[in-house]
Amino acid sequence: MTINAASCRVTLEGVTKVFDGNVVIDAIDLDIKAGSLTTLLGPSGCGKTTILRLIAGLEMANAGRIRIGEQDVTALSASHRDVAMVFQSYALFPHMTVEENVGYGLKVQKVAPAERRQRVDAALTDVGLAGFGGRYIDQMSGGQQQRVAVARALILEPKVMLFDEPLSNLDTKLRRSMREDIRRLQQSTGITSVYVTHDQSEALAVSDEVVVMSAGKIAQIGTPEELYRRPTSTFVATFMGDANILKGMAVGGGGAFSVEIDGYRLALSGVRPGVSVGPVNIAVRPESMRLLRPGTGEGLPAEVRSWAYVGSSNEYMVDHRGDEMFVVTPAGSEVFRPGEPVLVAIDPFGVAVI
Amino acid sequence: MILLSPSDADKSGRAILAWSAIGIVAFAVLPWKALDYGLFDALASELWDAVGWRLGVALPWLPTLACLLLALRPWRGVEPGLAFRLDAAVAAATVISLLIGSKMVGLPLGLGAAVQVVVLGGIAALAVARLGYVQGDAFMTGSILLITGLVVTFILFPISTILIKILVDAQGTFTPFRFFEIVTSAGFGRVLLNSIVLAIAVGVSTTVLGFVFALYAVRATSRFRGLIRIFSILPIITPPFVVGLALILIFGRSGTINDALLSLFGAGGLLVPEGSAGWFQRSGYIYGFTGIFLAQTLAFTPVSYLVLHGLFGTISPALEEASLTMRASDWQTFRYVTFPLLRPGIANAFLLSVIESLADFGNPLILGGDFDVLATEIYFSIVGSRLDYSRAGALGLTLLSISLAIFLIQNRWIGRKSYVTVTGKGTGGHLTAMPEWMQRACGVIVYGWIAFNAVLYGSIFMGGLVVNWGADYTPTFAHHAELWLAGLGYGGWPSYLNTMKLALIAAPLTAVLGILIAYVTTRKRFVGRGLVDFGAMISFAIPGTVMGVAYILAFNVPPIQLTGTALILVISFIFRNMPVGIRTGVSALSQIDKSLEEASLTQRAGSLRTIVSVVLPLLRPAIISASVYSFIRAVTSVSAVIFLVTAQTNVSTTYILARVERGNYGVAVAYGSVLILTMLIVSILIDHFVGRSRVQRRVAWKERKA
Repeated sequence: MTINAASCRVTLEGVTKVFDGNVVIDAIDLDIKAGSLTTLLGPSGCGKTTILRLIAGLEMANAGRIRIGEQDVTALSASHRDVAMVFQSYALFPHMTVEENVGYGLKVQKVAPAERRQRVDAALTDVGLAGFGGRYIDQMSGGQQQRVAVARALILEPKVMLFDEPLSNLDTKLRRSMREDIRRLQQSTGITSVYVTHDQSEALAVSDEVVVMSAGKIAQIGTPEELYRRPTSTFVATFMGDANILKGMAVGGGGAFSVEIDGYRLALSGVRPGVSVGPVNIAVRPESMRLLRPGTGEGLPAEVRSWAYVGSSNEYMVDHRGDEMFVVTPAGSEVFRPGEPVLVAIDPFGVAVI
Repeated sequence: MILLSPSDADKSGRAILAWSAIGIVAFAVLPWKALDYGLFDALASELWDAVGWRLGVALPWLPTLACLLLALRPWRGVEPGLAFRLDAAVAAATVISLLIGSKMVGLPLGLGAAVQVVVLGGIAALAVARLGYVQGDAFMTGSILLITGLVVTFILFPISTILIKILVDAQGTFTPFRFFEIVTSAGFGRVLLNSIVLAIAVGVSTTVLGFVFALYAVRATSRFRGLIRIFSILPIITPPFVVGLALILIFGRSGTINDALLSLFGAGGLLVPEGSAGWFQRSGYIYGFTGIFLAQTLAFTPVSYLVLHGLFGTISPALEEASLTMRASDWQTFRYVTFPLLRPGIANAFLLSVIESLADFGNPLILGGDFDVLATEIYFSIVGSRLDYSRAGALGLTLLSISLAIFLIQNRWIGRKSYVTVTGKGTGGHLTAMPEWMQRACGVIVYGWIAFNAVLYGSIFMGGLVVNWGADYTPTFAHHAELWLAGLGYGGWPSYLNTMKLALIAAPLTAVLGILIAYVTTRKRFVGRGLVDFGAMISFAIPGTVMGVAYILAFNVPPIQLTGTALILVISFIFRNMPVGIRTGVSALSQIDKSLEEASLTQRAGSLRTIVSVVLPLLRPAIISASVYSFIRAVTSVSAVIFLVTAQTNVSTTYILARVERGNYGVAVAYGSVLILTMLIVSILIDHFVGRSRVQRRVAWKERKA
């Protein structure tokens, strides 16, 4: 596949979408960098798919502007926007062969049959389906159908590729290898891509940037690591994996911030701008917590409520003065039984002030 | 919120220019005014005199100047959003003032004007799409405008003229109480009561019979249950009143039964002593309630059978098996599991039959005697010298309200309930056979009915082959000879050929329009969808006679003057049978994932291209079956067309009815039998053709798999 020289950014300015009186997208501003793979992540009903469809031109914004590159596409129909979409259901035409499906866009563009055949073959080779062109869709497995859908989208060398939960119909193993393939194809072509998913691990694995959405608004934008390590809200903290939300007191200032929780002091390496001294909420990842026997170190005093062995780790629910906390310790570490008193030690690396 | 690049705006500007040019050409060369005898029967000189600029009237210049204005677009320099708004406003204002002007001047619109209206609609669609409506899609916007325009013009406008007819009298005075005067006048209550009693009786009888049939077809172990299918199709391809004719042949005053009884018990009968006056006189018992009830029961049982048969198929055998494993007997399972699941379907079948019975016109016409019902009373208010349009309107409105109310109940309340069970997913398990005694009881009813039908249909075919059924049973070909051997311009041929021609023109248009409406209302959101939905719903519920009255009231005067033409028959076929297309379209579209179309759109195919290469191929079987069914319904329909035909545009059904009125039963049933045979051949051919292609597809698919 040739490298697309001119990647385009996609910008949304104050985009609003209303369905039957419900504001589904609420004045969103979003700047998707040229050549990046940006994921829209959020629970169902948060509006992520609507944004994708607004960019595609399958829905029209009630207010605001959408630009692809320098072109304002707000009022353009889907067929004039130079985007390609991979659908959740793949949306492969059942009455056409694989070849006809992939070559459909070229045929619409009136590309000569010889060139069309050549480009279809190239696209099928790119997705590892060389030689499958003559088959019908119902003769392909789920993973193969997924690849056909990707090939069909790629072949037009669109300015923007849109993926609507493309892996949700595949089993876990296939999902991992497919998402790597998508990532590889996206990076080799450099086509700006927008990817919708509700699976945070998928989002973290494929994205340059993740946009977390909640109820029609953007909750936070950042790289996968920023979102995981520095969530700015309880919603983002709990949506991006498990998190224990604790109340604490921020002390210090300048370069040296620390947080005190019930007298247990944690020195933080860095906090987001805007945090001031005083009471704060902090989010702690369960795997950043360790359990100690009382008297063997510093930590929050607690009592083990339940314990589960899940193979790669131990999962505990512990009770700290009436607050439940979820703690994950590596397999092979010391095991505590329900009812035992413990100290919960926290690694400052996994702590975020929100 | 227009933010187009100048080049896009230019492109639309050029498209608008092209459209306007067509509008101007239409003015220059096409007959702008409607012609008295229709487009195809007019002389060349009449056509030429009707061309827009030769009429010497100001009205044709109005849309033409609007087209000129749109071609020049003096506002093209302004901001595109405003420019497109101006385009749309000019187009819309012109169409509205054209219609009003035509009504005021009394100049009926013809082909040229129609082309100009379409041109202005096209321009409005382009402009509106450019403003970002309907996903910015000009073709879809155009289709929506077209559909809305057609539904308003040919469904809502005619209905509204009935209302106006009642509210305003011939002198133009407002008469708000006219409707109440009519409905409280003598005789009205009796007619209304007759209609309702008949409809309920027919509803009950067809539902019971349909239920028994469905039960037998699905659950009996008899080898003969395939027969049910044939006899369930027959009434569909038979003009409903032909069944009534058959009843007259058998039960009529000089029918077979009367003859038989007379020859046994009448004066000089076999079992009557010499010299006695006999104990039996000829009786007309079949005319009136009994006859209509019997004829409608025969005609509409298949409707309820098909509804219930469809529903039986969707009940998962696993539910019954579950009941049986919990030690319920066959009967208990039927009583507590199967029957409750069928209840919504039973209500559905009942209400559909009631609507059919209320709307039926042919049977009450020939069998009614003194038993007047709403559908025929509407006709009798107009026919002959009475010409009481406000009475016809009031009767029509009453009938429409009842049908609409029943339809709403059926659609909103029960329709939804019964659809919930239709999942289309086959589940495992075997159907439980009926208990032996039930099977036997059902068998008696089913085979009795089939035998009765066989006698009736036999009498239709035989009746045309004897001199005079009831009096002279000498075999003869005279009736058929009179109809078919006098040359193509005589006997039955003109009406037969006319019917086939009009039905063949109307059928594909009906299917396409219905499916397009289904597509637009299920897949698109747009302003005015409520209007299209409402119009479609009216078309589902409207009885043919009401539509006939509405059409002559609406299309007898400018702006749209169509009465007496063949076009109005085609239009009435299309809008009367549109529900067939809509129903087929809705159910076929529900099988097609919406994202298939979206995939095509994002592949840069426009919506026209998407429909042609993705939607239509997938809908092909639906389009074919909808066309066939519309064709059959057009050929067999009588209620609406009887108001609209003329001597030149006579159709088969009205020809047959005219012969019945003159007492030529032999000729009437001879023609009827030919019509039934035609429909039978058409449906078998198409079924064979479509059926085979389906098999071929399956075979091809299997080969691919292998």
